[in-house]
Amino acid sequence: MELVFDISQDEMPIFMAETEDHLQALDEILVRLEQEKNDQDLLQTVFRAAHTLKGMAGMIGHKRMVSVTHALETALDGLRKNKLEVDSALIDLCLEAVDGLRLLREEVINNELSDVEVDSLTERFMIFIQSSQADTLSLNLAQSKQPLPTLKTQPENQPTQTGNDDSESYVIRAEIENNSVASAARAFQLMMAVQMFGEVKNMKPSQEAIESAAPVSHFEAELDSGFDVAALEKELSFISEVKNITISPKNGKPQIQEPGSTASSTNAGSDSEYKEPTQLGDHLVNMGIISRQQLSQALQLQKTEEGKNLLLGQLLVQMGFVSQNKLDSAVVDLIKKQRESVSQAARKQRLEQRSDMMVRTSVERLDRLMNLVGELITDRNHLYQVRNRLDTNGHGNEYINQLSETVAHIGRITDQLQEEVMRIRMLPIGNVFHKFPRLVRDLSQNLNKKIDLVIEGEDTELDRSVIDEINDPLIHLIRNSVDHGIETPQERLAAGKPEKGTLRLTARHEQGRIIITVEDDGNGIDAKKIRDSAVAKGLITEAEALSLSDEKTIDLIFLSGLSTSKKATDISGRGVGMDIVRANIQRINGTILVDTKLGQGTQFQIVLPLTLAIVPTLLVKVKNTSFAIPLVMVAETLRLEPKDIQTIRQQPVTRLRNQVLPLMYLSDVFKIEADQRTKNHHYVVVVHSGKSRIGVVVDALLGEEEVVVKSFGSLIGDIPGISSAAILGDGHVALIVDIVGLLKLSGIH
Amino acid sequence: MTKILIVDDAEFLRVRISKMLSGDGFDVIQAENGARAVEMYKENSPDLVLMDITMPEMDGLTALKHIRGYDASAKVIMLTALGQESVVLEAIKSGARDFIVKPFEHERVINAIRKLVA
Ligand SMILES: [Mg+2]
Repeated sequence: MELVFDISQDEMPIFMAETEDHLQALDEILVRLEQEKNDQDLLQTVFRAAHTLKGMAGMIGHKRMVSVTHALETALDGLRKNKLEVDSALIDLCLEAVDGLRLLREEVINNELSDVEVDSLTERFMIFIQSSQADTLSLNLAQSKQPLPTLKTQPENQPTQTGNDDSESYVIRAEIENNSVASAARAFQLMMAVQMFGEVKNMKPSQEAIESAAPVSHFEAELDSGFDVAALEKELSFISEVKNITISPKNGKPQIQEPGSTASSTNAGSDSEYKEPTQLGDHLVNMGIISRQQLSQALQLQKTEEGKNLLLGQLLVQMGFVSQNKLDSAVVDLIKKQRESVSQAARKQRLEQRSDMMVRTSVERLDRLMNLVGELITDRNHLYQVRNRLDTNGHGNEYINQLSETVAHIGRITDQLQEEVMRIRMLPIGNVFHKFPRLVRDLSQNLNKKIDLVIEGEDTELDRSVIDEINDPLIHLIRNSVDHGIETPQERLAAGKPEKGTLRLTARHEQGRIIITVEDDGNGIDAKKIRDSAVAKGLITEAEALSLSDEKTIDLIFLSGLSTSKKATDISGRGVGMDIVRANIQRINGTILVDTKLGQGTQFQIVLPLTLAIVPTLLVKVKNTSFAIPLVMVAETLRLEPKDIQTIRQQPVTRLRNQVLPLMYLSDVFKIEADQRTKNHHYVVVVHSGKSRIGVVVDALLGEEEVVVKSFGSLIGDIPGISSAAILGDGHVALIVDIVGLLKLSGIH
Repeated sequence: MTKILIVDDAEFLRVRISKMLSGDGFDVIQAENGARAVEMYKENSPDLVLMDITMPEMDGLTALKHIRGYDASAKVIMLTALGQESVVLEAIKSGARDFIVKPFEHERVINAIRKLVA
């Protein structure tokens, strides 16, 4: 079935983006509400999200989406007003509604009916709300239409002649359309309009009844003659949803009226929410000066004849609930508070003004900008080199000095430009993190586990290209932690741990890199099991297994084909995937480390560059070829004499602070004819990958350079040990080394 | 040209109404919450305000009161949804000149506006 919605192409992106924002907020806050049950701010925000979604769905004529949002809004309104209580079952239902809303939202683009069972959803909300003894709410939910006003014919209290026979009076009558959502408000408008023309008598319904907000279908009032009938008529006609307005002399021809319709419903009986406790009353209760009960007694009294004209404070003093002194100081206090909140609002306003100064731009444009900056950096590097050459050859030449200064300036400007562009491209990692509370909640419920997710550093910013790439690996790590890491409550209690597990997700900046950790207090990874499994699967030999330290054994989880979980669960599949996680992270020049303590938990640490487009590297040379080693991988550099190098089991090694460091000659790996072995000294770049360290032997160190990454494309294809290429300042191409691939290639582990 | 201030926290709604109105030759400005609306009212003195009720920072009812406090002749039409009867009544008592229920049609909005700005 083809669905049609009232939305234009240019409205579509706004609708989609805005609804996604609200759905995301719902997801996130509903999960938080489960923990922070009475947080009024959260309740307000979540209610508003549902309310706004409903409004938007209505505007495009998406009736099913309106139904679901209406049910959700009603429930959230109940929570907000303390008529419902937060419990897991209700949150479950709300989250289910959010899932349904996502599908319903998709319908707007796809124009295809989704399989959301709207009736079942709304019905369950209704049952929930009704069973929670919140009659008012269920009423509200059951009726999207206005209930028919009860037509109660008033006893004949026709305006009695009260001595003003001489001045003829007029009767003003009007009907309010019965689909008006706030007919009382229309009646109020009518009343106000009539009042402008004289003293109103015999008004039906009474002002009190109108102010109770009970529905009104007929309005009637009397005015003494002498007013401008035409002007009143005009004034009344300005009021919407009002029809059949008549203004006629009271003793003139009777109006044609449907039987029983003269009187409007005046059943102000149902206590409307309208008369809410005053701010002062609430303040006194909150301060503990009076009890909620005393407040309602006073408010009750205020409604009676004797208390009608008294202020709440006066009443409370008279009733002996509070002394005048205390009342006075409470009032002063309240005023102070209100002032504060006003000035806070003003501060927020200022902040918002700033956000008004924002412009939106497309991601593609940002990418293009970044590419241009990349070109500029390459040229800047080239300029530096030319300048250096000129400086050494033509030192003292006036023109060369000027050129040199200009080049230095251009260099600084380029740096600043790069920084600014990078900053524009930065997004807080919260964009990825905010999906995880819901994920963890759902997963742990499926597995009957109890897990607290703690998130830190969600404001940490990184390049949007990195954000895109890190999402999947994180999801995988979190799934693994929930599935294999954290134990069931029973297992945890038996192990003397708190019943509830903790999953901690953090992000921070450190020396121009992003560090993300995923840490659980579960049962850790058993090195012995890994060893056995790796041998059984033929990934390593038994002899190799014996020589592997526990630490290095744990690193085997990143090999493909290794699974330690005994049973396959639908959550993390068959335990596969750590190899893919690592591959994904390495693809963006990041690293992943695992640290685990049996019985105590596991921590994964991911280190990422700030951006993918520009990589700080160490440039090295082997014969005539330049290589760029990403600085993230570099631990230190060494200069070795031939005597420092020994060979153990055909493996060249050196000693570094009393530890054996295996060496790898880049010339060997890439089959470059080099005279490295015969030289009288060597340069070694110590790189780390996982827990392993290795020395990469090169001919020369050329220095650090930020290089702009160019992918090979299909021209050259994949070269093992090389991730991509970069154009250097001197126009030469440098190959960016993929250290992990290199390690694989060299066979060193 | 008649200047209209549209106040709603949903961008989609603002865009939708803006399109309706600018097509009919109105000059449209927008605010995304009540606080901003009060400010923009003071800066731009629009001929009419279309005011949403449920908004963050400052709701429509409070903004209405501020605006009417600043300019007793301000013409404000509330944009409301089902279930907000008592708020609407309160708004009318506070000087709102009319209210329109979401979802609304083009004609309904235009009629309400034309009634108030001759
Ligand atoms: Mg709103």
